[in-house]
Amino acid sequence: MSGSALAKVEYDFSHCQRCSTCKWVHLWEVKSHRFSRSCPSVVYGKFDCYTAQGRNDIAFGLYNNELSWEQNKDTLLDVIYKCTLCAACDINCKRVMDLDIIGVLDALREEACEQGYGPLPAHKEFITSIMQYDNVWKQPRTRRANWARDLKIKDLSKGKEKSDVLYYVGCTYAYRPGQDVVPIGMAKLMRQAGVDFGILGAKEVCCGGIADNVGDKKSFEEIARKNLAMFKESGVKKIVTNCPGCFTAFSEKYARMLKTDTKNLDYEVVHATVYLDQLIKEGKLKFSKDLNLKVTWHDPCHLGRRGEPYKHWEGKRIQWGLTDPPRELPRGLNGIYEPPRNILKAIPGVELVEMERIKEYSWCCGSGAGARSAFPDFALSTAKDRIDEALSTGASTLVTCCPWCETNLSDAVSSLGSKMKIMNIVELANQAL
Amino acid sequence: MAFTKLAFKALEDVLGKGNVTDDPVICQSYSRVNWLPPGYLQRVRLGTDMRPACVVLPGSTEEVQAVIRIANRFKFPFIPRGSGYTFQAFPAGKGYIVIDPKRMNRIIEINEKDMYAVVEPYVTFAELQTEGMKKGMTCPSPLAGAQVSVLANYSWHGAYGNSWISGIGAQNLEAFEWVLPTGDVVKSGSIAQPHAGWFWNDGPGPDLRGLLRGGMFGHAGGLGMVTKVSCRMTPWPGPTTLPTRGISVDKISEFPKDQFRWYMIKFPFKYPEEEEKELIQSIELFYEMGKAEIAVFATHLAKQFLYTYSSKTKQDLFENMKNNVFPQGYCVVGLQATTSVRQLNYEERVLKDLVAKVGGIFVKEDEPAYQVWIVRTANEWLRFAHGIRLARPSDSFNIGASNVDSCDGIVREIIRSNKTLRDLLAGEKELGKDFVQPLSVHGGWISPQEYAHWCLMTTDIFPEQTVKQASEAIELMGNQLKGELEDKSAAVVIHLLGPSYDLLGPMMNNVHLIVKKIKNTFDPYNLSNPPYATRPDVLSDEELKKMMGAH
Repeated sequence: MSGSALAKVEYDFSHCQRCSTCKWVHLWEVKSHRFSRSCPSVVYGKFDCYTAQGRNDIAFGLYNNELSWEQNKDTLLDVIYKCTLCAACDINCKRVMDLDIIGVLDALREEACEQGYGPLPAHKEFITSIMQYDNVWKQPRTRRANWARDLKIKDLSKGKEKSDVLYYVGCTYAYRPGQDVVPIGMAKLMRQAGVDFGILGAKEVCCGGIADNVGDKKSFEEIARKNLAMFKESGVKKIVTNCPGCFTAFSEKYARMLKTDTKNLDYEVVHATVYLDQLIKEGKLKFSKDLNLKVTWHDPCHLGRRGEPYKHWEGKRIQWGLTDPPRELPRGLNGIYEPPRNILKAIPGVELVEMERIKEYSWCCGSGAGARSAFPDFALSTAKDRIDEALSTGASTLVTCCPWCETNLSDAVSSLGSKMKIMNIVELANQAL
Repeated sequence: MAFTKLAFKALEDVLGKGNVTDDPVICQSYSRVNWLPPGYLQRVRLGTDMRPACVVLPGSTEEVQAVIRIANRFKFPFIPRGSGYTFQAFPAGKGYIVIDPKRMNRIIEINEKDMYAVVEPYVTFAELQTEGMKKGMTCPSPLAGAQVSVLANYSWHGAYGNSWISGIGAQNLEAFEWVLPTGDVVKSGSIAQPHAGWFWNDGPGPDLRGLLRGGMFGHAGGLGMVTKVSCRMTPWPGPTTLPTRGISVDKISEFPKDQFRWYMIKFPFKYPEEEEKELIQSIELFYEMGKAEIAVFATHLAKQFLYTYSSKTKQDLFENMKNNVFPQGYCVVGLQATTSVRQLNYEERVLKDLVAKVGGIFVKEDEPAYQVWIVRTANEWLRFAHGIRLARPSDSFNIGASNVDSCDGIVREIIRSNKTLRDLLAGEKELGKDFVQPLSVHGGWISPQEYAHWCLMTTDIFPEQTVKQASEAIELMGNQLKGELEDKSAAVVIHLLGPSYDLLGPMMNNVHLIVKKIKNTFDPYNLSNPPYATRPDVLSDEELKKMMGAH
C-alpha cells in the first residue's frame, strides 16, 4: 500500500486530462519545430511514462495498488528519478488546469523513500557526504573557505564579527576546481559596491536541497534545521547566494518545511543576480570595460520558474475542485527572469541574443534533482540540446549562474566539440570592471 | 488470441529493443483517460484491463506496416494514436498494443507554391503553424489545443476556431499515406500517381478521405494507421512568430493592427429571455459576412466558452462568473490583411456596415468583456494554447457536437437543446444538479463553416469525475441532442463508450451499416482498435441497451 506522500496529491494525479500540454512550451511561444519541446525526460525516454501525464498515471497506479514496488522496483525508480524536476511540465499544466504537478513528482520520490527503495545509490552518496562532511563532495570542512583565504572576509560563524549580509557560497562553488572564480568574483563585486558582508567560513553547511529533491525528507529536515540554527546564531538578516539550488532551498524548501510563507522566514534570501542588479541600479556598481561579446542567457530552473517565493496553504478540496481557502499555486509568475538580463544589458559591449525557450519555458540543462549523478547519459543528451539551441542564436558565449548548469553544459560543449564558451554571470561582470 | 511473448519478440525483432515494451509501469502510462466522462467510466469499468499489454514506437511507415502485419499474424488488437488525447486512443479491453508515434515527428515538406504541408503523426499544430508562418502560411487551430497531432485531427472531424474559412479538419486533408488494418499501404490523392507530389486530394482513382472521416466520427483508429498526410495551408500575413508579452498565465499576444484586428459584437436584447433573437441576429450577421466574403474568423461564443477559455485560474473563472463579466453571448470576428492593409481597411468598413445593418453593437475597449476576451484570449483562435481550459470548471467536461446544413437551423438546435437541458436539470430525476452552473445551461458554441454555408455547434456540460456525475452527464447529453436525432435535423456526435455508430446510425440514414461493410472489408480480423468506430456485426436492441447500461 502506498504511503502518505501520495495521499496529499491524490486529487492532482487523478485529474490529469492527458492533454499533452506538459510536453511543450507555451504554444504561443513555439518558434520552431526543432525547439518546441519543454520536457527533457520524455525527449530522452520517449514513452509516456517519462512525462508528467505518465507519472500521474503511475502515481495513480501505486496509490490504487495497480502497481507494486516489489514487482516493479527497477522501472519505477528509473521513471521517477529520470527527471530533473525542472517544473516545465508544472508551469505549462497550470496555464490550463489547477493541478500541483510538481507536488506529484515530489511525492513520488518521497513515496520511493518511504517504501525503502529510494533514493538511488548515486544520491545516497551525496546525502552521506553531507551528513559526514557538511558538503556533497566528500571534502574536509576545513577546506570549505579556502577560496577566501586571501580576501579577508568577515567570518560570521565565530560570533566576533557581525554583518547583516551573509554571503552563502554553497558546496560546489566552494569546492569544485575552477569554480571558485565565482565566489572570489562575487566578493570582489560586493566590495566594489561597498557592501558590508560576511561568510560562515568552514562552518558553512550544505543547504540540503539535494536531499529534498530526491525525496529524503528526513535528511533534508536535519540539514535544514542545522542551517536555520546557524543563521539564527549568527544574527543574519539577509542571505545572498549565487547557487539557484541553495537559493530555492533557503527560500522555498525551508519555508515549506516550516509550513510558512517565504516572506515570514526570519531571514531574507536574495539571489546574487537580484542583488547585483540592485547595486547597478543604485549606481554602486559600475562597469568600465567594453567586452565586445555576443552572449545568450540560460535561465536555471531554480532561478526562473522554480525561483518563486513559497506560499503556504492548508485546507481542503470542495466542490468542482475548488479549494477552501483558495490556494495560490506557483505558476512561474514570480520567478527571477529580468535581473540577470538587466546585468548583461548593463555591461558595455555585451549583446544579449535570446534562445527560443526562455524564462518560464526555459529548457533545463539536464543536471537537476540528481539526474546528472544517476543518469549521466540523460543529463548530457539534454545539455547538448541546449547547446544546439544556444548555437542557433549566433552567440559565442552562454552565460548562466548555476554551478550544476555550468558543469553539465560544459560537458556538452566538450562532447559536441563546440567552441561555445560557458560562463558564470559573475565572472563576466568581473571582466567588465 | 492473446498477446504472447512470441508476438513481443517478433515486434522487438522489427523495431529494436528500446522501442517495444511490455513493462507494466510503462504501459500504465497509457492506461487512463479522464477528460470525458466516457473515458473516466471506461477506466472505472475496465480497471487495469485498460492498460495495454505492450507499447511500440515505430519510426517509419515500413515499421508501422511490420507492426500491423505482426498483429495480423498473432491476432492481437492494436491502437494507432496521435498525441493520445481522445479516449478512443486507449484499450477497450485486455491484450491490446498501443502504437505511439513519437518517433514519427517529421515535417516532411512545406510547399509555399501549392500551399500545403506534409507531416507525420507526431507533428503538432503549434509546430506546423510556426514553420508555416515563416513561409507566409498557417493552418487552422483545433479547439483541443495546438499541442495535438495535425495528422490525427485532419484524419478525423476536427473543429476549429477559424472554420469560417477552413471548414472542419477533414476538409483540409489532401493526399495521405495509409497502412490498412491488414498491413497493406494505400496512397490516396495525388501521391497515388508516381512523382505527382502531395498537392491534391484527388488522384487517379477514388478520393479516399471519406473512409477516414466516416459519417461524422472518423474511423477512430478502427481502420489502420495513417502515416503521412498533406494538409491545406492558408495565407498568413505575418509576423513570423506570435508576438507575446507577460509571463505564464499573464501572457498575452498582441498583433500589429495593420495585420490583424479583432471585434466583439453584441446585440441589444435581454439575456437570457431574448436569447433566440440574439442568436437570429448573429446568424444574420454571419450570412451577410459570408455574402461579402470577408473575415478569417467568425464565431458566436456562449458563456461557457467565454469564461473557461479566458480564465487564468479556476478561482479566476469563478470570480469572473460571480462578477458577470460576460452577461451574454457575443459574436467574435477577426479580420486579416491577407493581401494588403487596404484590403483589411475595406473589410473593416464592410463589417461596420453589416453590423449596423443587423442592429449589432461593437463592444467597447473599456468594457470588461473586451478586456478579458479580446485582450487576453482572442488570439487563441490563431493558435489554441489553452484548449483544455474547457475542463477548468470541474476538471472534466462532456461535449456533444452537431453539424447542421444551415446556420438558420443552428439557432433552432441551440434553443431546443438548451431548453431540453434546462428541463432535465429541473426534472424529477435531478440530473446534473451538482454540475457547475450556470455554465451548462447557457451552452452552445456556434461555428459557421466556410462563409456560413453550413454550421457546427457544440454543447458542453461540466460534471465532476464521479461515477454518478459522469453517468448523469452522458444521459443528459444523450437526451439533450435527442431532438436533432429524432427529426434528423443534424448530424450528431455524442461521445459514448464503444460503438457510437450502432446507436446513432439508425437515426442517421443507417450510416452504421455502410461503416460496418467498410470495417469488415478492410479489417477482416477486427484488430484495428475494436470496437471503434464500429463493431463488425449489427448490435441487437438488447446489446445496445446493455452498452448504454455501462454508463
